[in-house]
Formats: sequence, structure tokens, C-alpha cells
Amino acid sequence: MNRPAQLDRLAELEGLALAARGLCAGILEEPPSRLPVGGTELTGYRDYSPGDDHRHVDWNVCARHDELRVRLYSGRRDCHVRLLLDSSASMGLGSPSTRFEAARRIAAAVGYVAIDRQARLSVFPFSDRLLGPIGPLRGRARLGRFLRQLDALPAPEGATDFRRVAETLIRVDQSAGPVVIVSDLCDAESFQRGLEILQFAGRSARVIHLIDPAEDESLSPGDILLTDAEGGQEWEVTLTASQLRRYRKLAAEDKERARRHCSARHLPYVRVETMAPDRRLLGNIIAMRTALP
Amino acid sequence: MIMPAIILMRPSAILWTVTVGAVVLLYLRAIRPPRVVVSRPYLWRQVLGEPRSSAPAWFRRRLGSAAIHVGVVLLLALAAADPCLRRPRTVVFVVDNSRSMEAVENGVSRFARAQAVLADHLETMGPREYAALITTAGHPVVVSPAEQNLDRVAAAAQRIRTVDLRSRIADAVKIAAGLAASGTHLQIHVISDGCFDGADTMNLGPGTTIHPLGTLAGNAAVTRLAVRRYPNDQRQFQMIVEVTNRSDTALSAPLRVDLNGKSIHQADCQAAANSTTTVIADLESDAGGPLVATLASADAIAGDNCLELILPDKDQPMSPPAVQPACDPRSPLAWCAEPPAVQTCRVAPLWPWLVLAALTLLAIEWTLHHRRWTC
Repeated sequence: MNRPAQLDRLAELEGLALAARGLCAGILEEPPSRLPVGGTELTGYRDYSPGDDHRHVDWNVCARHDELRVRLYSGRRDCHVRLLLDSSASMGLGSPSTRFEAARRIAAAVGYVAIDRQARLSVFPFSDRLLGPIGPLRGRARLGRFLRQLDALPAPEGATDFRRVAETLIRVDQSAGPVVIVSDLCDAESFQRGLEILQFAGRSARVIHLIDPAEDESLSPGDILLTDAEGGQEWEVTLTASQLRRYRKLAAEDKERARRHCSARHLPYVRVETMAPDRRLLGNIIAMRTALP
Repeated sequence: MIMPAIILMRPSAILWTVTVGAVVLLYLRAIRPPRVVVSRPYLWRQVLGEPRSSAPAWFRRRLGSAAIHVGVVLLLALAAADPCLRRPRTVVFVVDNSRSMEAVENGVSRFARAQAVLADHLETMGPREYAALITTAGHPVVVSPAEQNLDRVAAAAQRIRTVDLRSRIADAVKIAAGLAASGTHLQIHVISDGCFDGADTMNLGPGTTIHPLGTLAGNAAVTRLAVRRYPNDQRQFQMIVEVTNRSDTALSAPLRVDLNGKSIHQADCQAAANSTTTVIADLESDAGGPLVATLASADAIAGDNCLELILPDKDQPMSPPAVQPACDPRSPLAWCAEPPAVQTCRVAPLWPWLVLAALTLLAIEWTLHHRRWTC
């Protein structure tokens, strides 16, 4: 990217970050917790349970009551934002701008806001596996590097297996923090399983669902060569109007199912069309509130 | 029965059209159906079942569509070659315009019948055919060269008049053989009563048809008229009238002689079949003037029934005798009971039908395709 364009982009992201500062909540908001770790203010005690860090056992209380008690804290704690960026082949679709370009733009905005809030940021591109991450990064001095690395991401390829990605993520990165997923959710079943795994592991996930309206609008009845974007399989079919209507209905239900799934599990969910997201739309994404129970 | 043959007016057009058509066809066939990249194949499986199962039908239909397109290209190529049902002709009409054609039979002269035959033939000719016209009396004359404007040929035929000269059919046919327009099939139609030398032995070549006119009707003619004044009495003169009977029956007709419009002599002329008789009369007149001998005979040719001579005045030198041939109108072709029938051999262009067939094929192909799309 040439320098004036990068400056424009930084100015735009700065504007987003400024707007995000005024939000008391948003995509990076985490539910208040009373956890044994990460807080700045002691709020109480609870019984020790297997798995608790021994360093947080209050030994004085233990001596007085003859039982193991751990300290509970609340307040601001170190925030580590993980951005899962779908890099599967289906993200290469879309015209005039691809889904992946839209996803990178969203990732840049979210990442900028995260860094502006002094959070740690890690970007994990993924397809059917977790690819080499960007970060973790912290501090505004890393912004330029972050954006350059984001631009240098390889072209999307491969199939999607979000369940496997989620399993890998909770294994290699066990620290808490919000997980922002930017994807077209083109394998709904796999995504639902992956989200359940993240939720079970205590990660608060946010889903930014990229929609490509051109994919369905470009279809018309007649002889067409259907090509699976990820599998590469080709089908020579004669599509009738009734079949096309049925497909559109199923596609709409598929998208709605993803929203319902997130809503049922109180996961923040936003649907974004792959037209290059303008500043207002990015602001809406940043301001996305978590749907807490 | 001769079956009509399809001939091509522009055979080379086939090559060009097929070449261009093949290029266009290859281009069209190279346009594959649009490729649509989809990200949710599992939805398509729900809609289409196993999509690959439709590939054979898809292939068969495209094969049928390609066959129709090839057929359309071939039809258009054939149309470009301008086919017609038979090869265009150059029809040369050799019309006998000798004196014998003036013979009147059943109230109609032979020449009028010849013109009617010619007109009938012109009517049957197609717009791509050529017609030419040659007369035969004296020297063969090309009245109209080969041309496609048949109206002009018909007008030229109307202007032909009979001439008191011998007909030279054989020479005219030789000239007609060289009048064929390029790429056409030559036909020569001889329209004659056959009253010319060698008619009974004439060998017409292939492509030459004779249309015989006339019957065995005879003719009587005043063939010679001569006068001489007596040297000792210039007022008196002797008139000699020769009458020739070209008929199979004996002649008996009144002969009248007029001087200056006044009848000065009448006689009954008797002549045996195919013979010549002479009428001699001594007459008297000081003044000279037109002397006309008229044979009142209802024969086929009326034009030769009178002969005129200028009688000089007394004491003037005598004029030579007037002579005219006796035309024999008895047609040696009279044995031909029927003239050849006029063949209707219009050259119908076929290209509109071929274009129509190509458009029909395209319409069928489009309809089938459209039906599939909207079912």
C-alpha cells in the first residue's frame, strides 16, 4: 500500500478508535467476572476447586478456617483479543471486492480499536486449520506492523473446518479474552460445533457474518457449471426456476440459522454484506453489544 | 419423366459460408455455460440431489443443440449458393419469317401462330433464364441477343415481319448455338412451317426442338406478267400472264387485268395441280400506266395473287416483265400432328425456403431451450 493511502486508512481507523473510546461497551466488552485471576480489587473468597491456581489460595484464611479458600478479584484485567479471520477459499468469492478483503478491513478496524484500548491482539487466519498468527501485539507502536501483516496475508484457500480450528485454539492459547470471528460461515454445521467448543471452554465469542449478495443474485435458470469454491468439484446442471427458488429459500434459512444459533447462546452476532464496509458500518460493528444473559 | 435437378448458381458461396459458419459455430460452442462458484455445496445437494446425475442429459441436449446449429449453418450455406430446381436456360427462338409463313389457315396466318407459340414459351420462362430471337428469311438476323428481360424479347418478336426471301434455318440454328449465356443450358426452338430447302432432311441436334406450323394447303400465284406492243400498231399490245399452281388440286379461278384502275380484260384461269399455265391476250390502249393482273383465288397466300407492271405509252420503249416466285406453302412438317408441348420449366429460387427452414430450426431449438428454463 502506498504511503498516502496508508495514512488515509490510519486516519479512518483513528476516527473509529476515537468513536469506540466513547462506548462503554462494544465488541470488546467482556462480562464482569469474579474470578480468581486477573482483577485489581479483592472482592471476596470462595472454596478452592480443582484446577484453581495455588498462587491464589489465601493461606491466612486457610489457617484460620482450616480449609482451602481462594481470593476473588474484580475490575479491569489484562484483555487479550483474538481475531479469527476466515481464510478459506470461499472467502475469495465476491465482486467487486471479495469477502476476504471485507474481512481484512473489518479485522483492521477491530484490531485497531483493541490496540487503542491497550488490549493484546492476536489475529489467527484459519481455513481447515489454524494458520500462523499475527501477534500478539500490544501498543500503538505496533499498529503499522499489524496493518502490514494483515495486508500480507496469503490469498484465501482451502476448505473450512471451524470445529477443528476451535479445538486447536483452546489447546494452544488458554488465556481468557474475547474471540472475534470474521467469516462467511459457509459451513454452518462446523461453525455451530466450533462455537459450542469455544463457549464450553469459557471463551466469549463474537460472530461477524459476511454475506455476499452477489452469490445468489448472479444465478439464473439454464445450463450452468456449478463449482464448489472449496472442494473444487464441478457439476454440469440445468437449473430450473423452481430449483433456483428452492435454493434461495434454503440459503436464506441457512443464514438465519446461524443468527438463531448465536442468539440462543447469547453470542453477539452481526451480519455484514461484503460491499466494502464504510466507516459507519465499521462503527456499528465496533459498537456491537454483547448479548448478555 | 425428367426429374428436376437442384443446381447451384453460386457453388463457391458454399465454401465461404461453410467456412464462416464453422468459425462462428466454433466460437458459439466455445462459449461454455457460465461457471458459478458456490460456497454452500451442501445446499445445492439438497436442491439437486446428486447434481452430476444430470450431466449426461446436459451433454445430450448440448449435442442436439450443436447438431441443430450445424444444420442451420449448412442450410444457410446452401441458400447462399442460390440453388434452383434446374439449370437456367438460354432459349433461342429461331422464327421462320419467310413468305410461306403468311399462309392463312383456319383464319389465322402461320406467322401469327408462330408469334403465339413464341409468346407461350416466353410465359413459361423463369426470371433467371435468357431468351434470344433469330429470324431466318434471307440471312439469319439476331433480332434480340440473349437477355433476361423477356418483355423486351416479346416486343422484338412483335416487330418481326415476313420477308419474301428463302428461309435459312440451318444457318440460323448454327448462330443460335453460339448465343448461350454462360452457366446456362441451351435450348433452341425452331418455329417454322418447314417451307425451306432441306427441311425434310434437316438433322436437328440435341437441345433443338422444332415447332411445326402449317398444313398441306396449296398456293396459286401470278408469277410472271409481260407486255409487248406490236411494231406495226403501237396502240395494240400483247399481255402474257403466267400463273403457277402450287397445290395438289387443279386451279380454276378468274383472272382480271386492270390498266390504270380500269378492268381491261378478264379470263378464267385453269391450271392443273402443280403446273404452270399462261394466259395470253391482245389488248389495245394508247396510254400507258400501271397494269395489274389479279388472280381471284382463295389460296393460302393472298399476297402473290397479283402482279403489277408499268405499261409504257405508245412509241415508248417496253419495260421488262414483272416476275415473282410462287411460294409453295405445303408444309413438309405437316405430318407432325401435334407441336411439342410447352414445357413449364420455371427456375424457382430455393434460397427463401432454405432460410425459412433454418429459421424454423432455430425457433424449435430456442423454444425447447426456453421451455426447459421455465419449467
